[in-house]
Amino acid sequence: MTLRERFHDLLILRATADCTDEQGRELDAIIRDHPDWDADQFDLAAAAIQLAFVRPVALPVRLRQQIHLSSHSS
Amino acid sequence: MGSVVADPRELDPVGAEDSFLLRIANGDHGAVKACIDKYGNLVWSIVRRMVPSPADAEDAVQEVFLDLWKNASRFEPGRSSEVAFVAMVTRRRMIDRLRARDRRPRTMAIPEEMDFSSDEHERIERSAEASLAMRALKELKPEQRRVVILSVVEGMSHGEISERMRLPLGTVKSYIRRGLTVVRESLASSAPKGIEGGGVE
Repeated sequence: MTLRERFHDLLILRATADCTDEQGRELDAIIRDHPDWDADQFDLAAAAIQLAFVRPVALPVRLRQQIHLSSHSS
Repeated sequence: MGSVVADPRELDPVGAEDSFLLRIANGDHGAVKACIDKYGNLVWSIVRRMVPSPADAEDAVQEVFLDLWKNASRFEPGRSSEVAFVAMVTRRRMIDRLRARDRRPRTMAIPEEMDFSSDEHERIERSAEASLAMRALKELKPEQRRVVILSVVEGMSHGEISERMRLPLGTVKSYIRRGLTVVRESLASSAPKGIEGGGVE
């Protein structure tokens, strides 16, 4: 297995919440050593799948205001 | 929300000047409220789906928006739509949060067999990327598709899927890899630059 293939395997594990701490550290090291490699590609694919299935739920007004206030204080 | 993009090859045409996230990255505080208004429901929908406890979900949604403000400058128009970037940051935060608590994301169950031709699926598509992902998933064998959905949408671990579907763990991992790869390639073929397979890495 090439390093690129290992990189993809680890990205897939991260995107599907199946990455152990050790694998996470291994992935972080590869990303650090290869900053030009695309580390978002499988997270974006998973996000696209999630978007296709998400059912809309309205954010409560109170929470919306709270987020707005905390955004200005952060 | 809910409209299907007529031409999925055109990712949501958010230019740098129209991007709430890039306006925020450039210090435009007026864009914060607009961003919350535009993406609040989406973020909340994903968070509520992944975090069963309402109290935890309220904390989590605030963490997501803080992450969005911190990562706003990382958004690249043309590489993905803003909505897909927001969904990606939301998923990543939820996965990190649940891992820190040694819990897997738990989402609502989906039907055993899904009708991919139904209006319901058309209705809930959220972006060009969602349309592309749905099309790519349709190309998979039903068993492969089911495994990908159980993993990404329902939040089951690879081992749980293996048990539930009575498939070898290696087969489950192979199906997930294949599914995410075809979706990634579909997105890359529509992105002008930056995504591996359709641009540079």
